[in-house]
Amino acid sequence: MFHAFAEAWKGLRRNGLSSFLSLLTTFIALSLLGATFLVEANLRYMFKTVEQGMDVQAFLKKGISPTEIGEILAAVKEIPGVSDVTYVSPEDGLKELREMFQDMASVLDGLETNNPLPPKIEVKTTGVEEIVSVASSLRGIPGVEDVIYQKEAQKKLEAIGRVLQIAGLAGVISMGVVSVLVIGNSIRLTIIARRHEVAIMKLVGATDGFITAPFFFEGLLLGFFGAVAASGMLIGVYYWLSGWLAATLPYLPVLPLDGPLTTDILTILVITGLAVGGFGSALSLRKYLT
Amino acid sequence: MIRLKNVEKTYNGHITALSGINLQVEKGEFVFLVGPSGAGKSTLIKLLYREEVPTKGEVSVLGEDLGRMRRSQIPFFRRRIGVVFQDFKLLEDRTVYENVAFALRVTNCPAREIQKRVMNALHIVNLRDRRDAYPQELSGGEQQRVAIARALVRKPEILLADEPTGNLDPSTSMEIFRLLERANLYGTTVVVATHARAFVDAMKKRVVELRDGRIVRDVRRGSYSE
Ligand SMILES: Nc1ncnc2c1ncn2[C@@H]1O[C@H](COP(=O)(O)OP(=O)(O)OP(=O)(O)O)[C@@H](O)[C@H]1O
Ligand SMILES: [Mg+2]
Repeated sequence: MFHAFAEAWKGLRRNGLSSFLSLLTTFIALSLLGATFLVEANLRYMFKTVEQGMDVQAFLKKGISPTEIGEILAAVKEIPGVSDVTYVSPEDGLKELREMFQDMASVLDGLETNNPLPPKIEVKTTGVEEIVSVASSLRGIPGVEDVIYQKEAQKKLEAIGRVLQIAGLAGVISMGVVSVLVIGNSIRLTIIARRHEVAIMKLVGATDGFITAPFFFEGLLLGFFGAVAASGMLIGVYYWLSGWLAATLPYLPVLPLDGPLTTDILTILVITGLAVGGFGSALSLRKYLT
Repeated sequence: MIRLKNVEKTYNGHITALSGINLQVEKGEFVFLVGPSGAGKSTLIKLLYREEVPTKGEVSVLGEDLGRMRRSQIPFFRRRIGVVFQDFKLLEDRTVYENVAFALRVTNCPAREIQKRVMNALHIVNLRDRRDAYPQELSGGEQQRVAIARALVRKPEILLADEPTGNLDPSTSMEIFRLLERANLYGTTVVVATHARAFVDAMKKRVVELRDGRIVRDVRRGSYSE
């Protein structure tokens, strides 16, 4: 085992350029895979945040009385698919707006005395699927003027997500194939460089397993190093990018690096890297050693 | 030990290297294979360690039918024979010690056992003092002695040598033949293909002569030519 690793390491150093090229392609392929994963994970996180946010808002008649509000809230709670409902008074609504527009809060000055906002209730549903039926039920409650929900935004986000997913997948697969081939070529060069040695090994009765193990490990090492480099790069870029996003677009929900994201990305890339490396070398071994 | 029955070997379907070969070698024998260049000596040796398979006929070595042997069995078969060549076939980036040890490392031999047996084999070929040298630092004769040590370190039942002294001067060749003879004294069956007329004549062993792929002479205590 140790013998095989030592030999694999020698093989990597012997074909420096080809090893480097394999490493580079694997690195690019895995970076692409990792980036796709990160974008995907964030989109999913975003959907979830949107889903969990104000699912449906119902605007009430202006000047509605507290008893009427109480009746409406009770009625809303009875609607199937509703998980939570809160009343937002016009004053609360104004406060919310002020928070959202921190810098430009001055435009809201003077609205306290003549508040244009209608009272509203925010309804959370148990899932996205319930939004439409809950919205139509809300419309039937007396005192409810208008109902809005984020169906359109939701659909658009999902469409963007799907396109990104397909483009990412296509990129990952094509780069994956290229890395398998390039790693395979790197192993082929090592096999050629060591043809003489392999012949001697066979002569003294080395089994195929003994002969091929170092070459196989060489492929695994290439995949592994490519994965580690790609993970390092992605985590670095993500760290910088999420910091920048938090500063410029504070309302965009971004997954934090601490937590499962770092281990997820490492696991995915290392496993894929090892698979690509193992597969690439296995291809060459089959072709050139047996 | 070695038995060939009606063996024919053609390369690429039309170059006939051997035909109608019937040969039997018993345990403990020492056999010289002689004959002009292209007679088929190397091909015959290759059949014996399953580098080539016969086109027709049967090659049986150590009780194994080599024409039918499964690929996966070849390494285990080869561990029972030692092979020596004109060009030594040493690993250039390993020391003398490592070259000999290599033959044991491929067999999962325990490390302590390896050390003992390698030193013993190097002692037989008188190269203990050069164990840390690399092949390029050795003379041709010394390199061939390393190859012989490598072949003997596993105590093979059969030792095959294809022109082992082809690149060596007469006095160095003498050492090599002495070593082969010594291995034979310990019970190893030895088959040597050679052009070294003087040694064949001097050693008085069994001589098998090939010509155009056929055995034309097979005599006990023979000489290089009639
Ligand atoms: N791999 C091969 N492919 C095609 N022909 C071959 C091959 N090996 C040997 N031959 C042919 O088979 C014949 C016998 O060759 P072989 O090497 O066995 O002769 P030899 O007796 O060992 O000769 P030498 O004394 O020169 O070593 C020759 O005609 C040779 O050209
Ligand atoms: Mg020959």
